[in-house]
Amino acid sequence: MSGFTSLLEYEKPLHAGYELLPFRFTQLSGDRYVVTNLAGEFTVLERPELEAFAKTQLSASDPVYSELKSKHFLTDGDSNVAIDLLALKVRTKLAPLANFTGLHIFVTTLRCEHSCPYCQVSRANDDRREFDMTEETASKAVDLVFRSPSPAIKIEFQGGESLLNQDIIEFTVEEVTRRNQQEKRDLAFVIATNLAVLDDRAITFARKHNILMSTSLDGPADLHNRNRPRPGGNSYEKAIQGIHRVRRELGRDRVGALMTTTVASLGRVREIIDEYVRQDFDGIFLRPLSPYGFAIKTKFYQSYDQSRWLEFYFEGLDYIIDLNLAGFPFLEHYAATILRKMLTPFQPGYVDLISPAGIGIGAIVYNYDGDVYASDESRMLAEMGDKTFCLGNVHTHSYDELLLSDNLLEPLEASFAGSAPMCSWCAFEPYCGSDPVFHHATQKDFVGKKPLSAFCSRNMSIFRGLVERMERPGVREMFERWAYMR
Amino acid sequence: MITLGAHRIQYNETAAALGRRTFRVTADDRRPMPLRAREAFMVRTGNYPEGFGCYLIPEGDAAQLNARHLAVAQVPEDLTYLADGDVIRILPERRSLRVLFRRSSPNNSFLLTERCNNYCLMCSQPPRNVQDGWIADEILDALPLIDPDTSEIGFTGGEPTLLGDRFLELVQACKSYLPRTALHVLSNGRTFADATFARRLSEITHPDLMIGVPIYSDLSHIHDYVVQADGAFDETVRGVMNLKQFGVRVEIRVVLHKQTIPRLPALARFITRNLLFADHVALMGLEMMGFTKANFDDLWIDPADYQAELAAATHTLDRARMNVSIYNSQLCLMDRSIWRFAKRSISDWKQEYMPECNGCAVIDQCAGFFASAKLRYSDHIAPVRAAA
Amino acid sequence: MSTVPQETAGVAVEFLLHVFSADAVKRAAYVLMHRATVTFQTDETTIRCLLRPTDSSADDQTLERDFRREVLDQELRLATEAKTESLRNAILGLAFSRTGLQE
Repeated sequence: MSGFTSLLEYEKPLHAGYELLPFRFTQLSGDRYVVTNLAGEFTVLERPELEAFAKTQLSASDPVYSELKSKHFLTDGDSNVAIDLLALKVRTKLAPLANFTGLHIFVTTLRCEHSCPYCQVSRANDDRREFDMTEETASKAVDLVFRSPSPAIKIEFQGGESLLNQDIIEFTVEEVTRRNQQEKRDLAFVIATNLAVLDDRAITFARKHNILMSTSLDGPADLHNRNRPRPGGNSYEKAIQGIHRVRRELGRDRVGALMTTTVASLGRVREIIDEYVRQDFDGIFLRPLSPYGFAIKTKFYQSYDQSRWLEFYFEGLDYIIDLNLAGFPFLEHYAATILRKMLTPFQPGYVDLISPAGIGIGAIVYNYDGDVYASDESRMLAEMGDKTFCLGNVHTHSYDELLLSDNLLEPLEASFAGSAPMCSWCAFEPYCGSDPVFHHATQKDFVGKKPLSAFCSRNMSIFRGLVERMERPGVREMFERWAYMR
Repeated sequence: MITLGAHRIQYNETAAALGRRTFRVTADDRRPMPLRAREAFMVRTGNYPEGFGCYLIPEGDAAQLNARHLAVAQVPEDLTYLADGDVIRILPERRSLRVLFRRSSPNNSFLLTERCNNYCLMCSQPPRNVQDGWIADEILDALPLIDPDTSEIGFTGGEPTLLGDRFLELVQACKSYLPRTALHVLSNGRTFADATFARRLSEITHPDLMIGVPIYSDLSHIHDYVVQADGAFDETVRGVMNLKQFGVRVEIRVVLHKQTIPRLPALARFITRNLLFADHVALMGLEMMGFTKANFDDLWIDPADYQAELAAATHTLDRARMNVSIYNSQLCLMDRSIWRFAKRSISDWKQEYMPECNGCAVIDQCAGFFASAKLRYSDHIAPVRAAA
Repeated sequence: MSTVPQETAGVAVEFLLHVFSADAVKRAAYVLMHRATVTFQTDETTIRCLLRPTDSSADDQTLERDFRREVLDQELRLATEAKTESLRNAILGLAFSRTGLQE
């Protein structure tokens, strides 16, 4: 039996130095920096450590050395399997791109009986049928849906108030289901509705076809009704009634809710979260206000300050974290989406936070009149008179003409974060997106000057805030649970 | 593994003339005549039904050894557990007998070779550089005799894949003769760094195959130290990647000792970011056998002292939705939050309990100890009281 | 090379070109564009930057400190990018290749 070689022998090559693997760094706060690799794995270093590391002057006995080696920021000795592993991780993050368009939005009508000031769609009176989608249009759109190679297809009905045109919802669902017998995709249907007009017909149909409902709940009654006026002033009561009806008749997890933040919401985030807890939701999506549609027309957006929204967001997030630490599981969905990018090998399918941008590649919108848009925001922009992101019309353009349109390809290419100034060297780029529609709307430029971009500053604040919070005991584990949820 | 066997077996002349043979054991005197030539009959009541390949008699029945027309072997007391369906190999020229397979045991493993290209500090089957190609022949003889309703068998070593083509031949034979039997192969994975070899294994399309591959650290130099082989980490990881590329199921195994415990949580994080596609992760208590004794000071850590690391690693893997099991660990030492991952893992013929276990309420759920643990086990073993 | 008006408020920051690259300085100016408009003047040895704050109530010292830090960071970034570029290409090439990686 021969002897054994000591650990010292195996450590010898480490003292000969190491090689840097590609990485980026961005200030976290003060002298601390977030450092990320190509796959989005991160660590936090003090500036002197960062500098020593970057200049290949770090010693193998330094406390951070092992972490940097483990997380693929450096290689040493004869080991180079890090290259293969990094390549696989990058590929895993990018692979979903090849599936192409998974989310197909059908705007069934522009009619709506609410008159929400932040609405990004032009209002139309209740009886104007010219703003309804026709069967010809729906049929052409369904043809285009199945041209997408994606194995999973989600059809989402929006409006106006989508349920005001149940005929076309039923027509589309039946048509898609029939064709799917051949296509065999993994199908999901969602109806976005304020639930005020929910009736027996809609419930029965939803039950038959396993349709999910997505509604708006902005917070407690007074806030919700103030944000979302309707004749009778009872939007909240109708929404709650609708939520409970859907749960009772279709199932507990068949209804989701989204909130929209307005000036009136600021300062009331705990109440809003409490409302969601009260209504038995397992999480909330704390959304920022987007600068489109009526929001700009009614000067709503301008009164809305970025830093006030961030205060709102973090107060809400911290409240939710405390709820979790006290034993009550409750999710914040925007954080969960970002955490999935930060903490897991996966890429969430969230079209608003991805580079290359999710326009066309992730989602596509078929408007009531057959116009095809690269995203929901693209449609909102068109309602303001800017049709930059209109790709064509289902009646006059083929699939190739739509998806290879310059209106799609130019912004995709121009906005690719990997080559944009600031994004290309930003440590947070693996977690972020490129939002060409937002940057066009606010700066008239697909790329945008990121130092002037509210999209950039908002996301960077959130990334930093999440990294800092993970240093609190118990929060990292909670965030991992959020990140790995499907 | 380690086959069970005995020496100083008495064989009569007729048996000796057979040379080395493999037989299935039976005590059933109504076996169909065509099968009997390949079976060994356990003589219990003095009956010698005709046609069997050989006859096994207990000690004290020496007279029958004289029978000329029958091949007779006298088995000692400690082999009288042999029963229907067991498979044995007689070696008359060595006066010995090996038990290759016990039908009543849920843990049958075949050692394919004693050769290995690693040299782990805690190896429970220290490698020998010998020409033992004959082992594969012996296993190929045995496989057709094994009950096809057997739920699982294992291939171990040494390093089984060093047999190259013969390894693939053995996997194929398992598929052919035991298509309903799961096959668990313990391998350091390095041979699979050659993608072609991994592909050829997958092309056999064995219906229920898993390769158990040890990875001892997230850092290449520490893994290489534990397995005492330069470059092993890179080859092992590439091997795992190749196996998964071709759709072969892989289990990652970690032995818990002083060299692997400090970075166990970091290894768990490494697995969740780099090897999330692994089908199972096994965290295993240390066996006091083989090289472990020689390297005791570098390996021994009282399991009670590593529970924080074990719980952290287990929960990290579980949060990432990986399948995790803890083997060869005692429940009384473990944090309750990880009890549900602990399995009764010690082979029945190795499992024991200690005097400190008396009165324990969960003794039937606990893995207990290896027999070899008598050499050293935790100072903190204590019976778990039933919940109030 | 632009001529800087003499009477404008702002803070002047100089960098020696044999220590800092013009690229690092330009990148830093880009990053801070929401806080200051930066104009440059160069000769063979030095690059002179005039930082005019966009917010008149901003503190000049903080602006200068942050600008200097940003230039240092960008210098480090440029050096790192150069050192790791070939590995970055190798990894991305492998990530996009048809063979050698699992689905």
